[in-house]
Amino acid sequence: MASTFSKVLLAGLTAFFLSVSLLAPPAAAQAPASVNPTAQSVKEQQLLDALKPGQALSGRASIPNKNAATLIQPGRDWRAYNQETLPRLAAIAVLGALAALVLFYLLRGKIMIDAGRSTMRILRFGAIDRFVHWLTATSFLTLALTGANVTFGKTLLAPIMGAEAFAAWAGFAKLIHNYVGFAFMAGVALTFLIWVKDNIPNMIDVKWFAAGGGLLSKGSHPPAKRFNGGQKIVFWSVVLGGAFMSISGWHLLFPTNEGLAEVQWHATIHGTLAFVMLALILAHIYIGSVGMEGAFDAMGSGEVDLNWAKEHHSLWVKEEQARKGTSRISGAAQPAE
Amino acid sequence: MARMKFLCDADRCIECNACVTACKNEHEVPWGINRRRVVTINDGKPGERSVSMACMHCTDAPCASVCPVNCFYTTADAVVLHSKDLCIGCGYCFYACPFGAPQYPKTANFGSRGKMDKCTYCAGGPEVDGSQAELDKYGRNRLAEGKLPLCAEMCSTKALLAGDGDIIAQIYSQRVAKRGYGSGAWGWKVAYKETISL
Amino acid sequence: MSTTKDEKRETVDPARRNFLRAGLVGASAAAVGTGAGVAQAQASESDSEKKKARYKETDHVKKYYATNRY
Repeated sequence: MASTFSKVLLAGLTAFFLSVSLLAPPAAAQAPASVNPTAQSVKEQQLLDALKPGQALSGRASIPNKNAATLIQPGRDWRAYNQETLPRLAAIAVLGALAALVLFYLLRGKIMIDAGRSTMRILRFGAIDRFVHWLTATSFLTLALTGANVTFGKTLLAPIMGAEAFAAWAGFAKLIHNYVGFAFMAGVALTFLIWVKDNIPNMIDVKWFAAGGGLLSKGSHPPAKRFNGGQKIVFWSVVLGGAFMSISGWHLLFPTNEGLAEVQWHATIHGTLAFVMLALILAHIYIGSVGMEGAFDAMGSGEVDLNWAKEHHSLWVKEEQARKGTSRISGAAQPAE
Repeated sequence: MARMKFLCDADRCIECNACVTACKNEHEVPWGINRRRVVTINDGKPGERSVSMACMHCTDAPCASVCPVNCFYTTADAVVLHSKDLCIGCGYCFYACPFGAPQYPKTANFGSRGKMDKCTYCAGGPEVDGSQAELDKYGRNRLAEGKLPLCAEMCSTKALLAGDGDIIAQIYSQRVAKRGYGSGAWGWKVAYKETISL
Repeated sequence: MSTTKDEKRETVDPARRNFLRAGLVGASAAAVGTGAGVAQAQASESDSEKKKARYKETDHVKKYYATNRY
């Protein structure tokens, strides 16, 4: 009885294992995909090799922060640029501009009004013009100082001030930078609106540049309308540079909506352009103050010496003299000698 | 001198997010801050792998390099820590970090985003070890207590390894040799400029 | 009528303003607290102290390594 039972059991088991082994080959054919994890396993090295420059290795994360899904952003290009190249470029731009200005001052000296000062003055910039200029100027210089602190502060200031005091100052500077930025944006936008009509480049500017702007030799005064070629360069640099600074700055303030590579680009543009603009503005400050007699009045009182205007903006003076209605020229006529 | 490292064995990680939870609980980090997170690569596809990622405590750390106030320091254990007293919350470390480790308590702009927070390798900060100030600012200092980061210690599948870099590399190599496969030491090449030969 | 009303107003229990005083005390206490906080911050570790090695291969750590070798 027991032997028959075991025989039946054995037969049954044999049949079962036979059927399993017969069925096995088709199952085994599908097996590697699901059983052997190496076949299609994600290997870090393969994924890194497949990345294009600037791309990040990312997947899915279950937390709400979308940026968390970025696993690895390889590449230390931005760090290298930000820590080595940018400070070097910035130092060259700013120190180079200062050296060039000192050299120019030594060679050319202060540019005087050739005809001497007259007794008559002409209104060059009204209250709105001057407000917009100084809004942009003060906010730019504030941003330049607090911004340069990010690049040079830890090497120049921190050793003198000590880590704690420097951190306190840097934190304050950062706040100033972030909020004054909006004043600068407004200044740039207004600058564009009020002066764009006088800043369209034309053939007069080509001739002005051909004559070196009258900067290189005494007594040379190529004709210019309200703004000469050099001023147009400053205008477009401020408007276009300011626009790029605003856009990149905005992205640095609110970087949560984009990938790291984009933010790094914005930081690169912001830092580089800032120092290029600073170098240019140094030249602008020089020629508007110590570099030229009578130039500061334009943005100071708004009224410039008529002789200065005739020398530097001859075509504009003619336009003003031909204007009908209220004259912008004031003061007593030149006494006859 | 032992060099502390993290290693996530992606072939073992089951994306349970317990490391994330344990970290948040141990250090009582505020809402919105995740010092550690789990990222799933090839989600739902064959060869899907999950990796638990936090600050990798890089060699020659990019965050420390770009910080405008030099608030970072690397300990003798090669753990990258920072001082919240010096941090100005500018976001530069966040721009430079290859692993998205720096976190900020507020989602506002960088004008008022608050001081940066990141994984401390359970090693606190510049305050006295085990002090209340250290706990409040940086969380628990388990390393000073002779322990390892909690995320790794409590990992149920033993996927997340922490400790002496040489020892955990050896453990990982043994595992790979035994089971015959391994997806690699995630982040090691970027963080430590070296990887485990398998 | 109106005079009594005014009188009433003047005889208001001054004790009800104590909460203002309590507020003042609280604020100064908070100021002292922040002062203490600063003192504590100064009591933070020195540069060499904060960078010193903390990792030790304790029994706890050895046990961790051992369980991970399985």
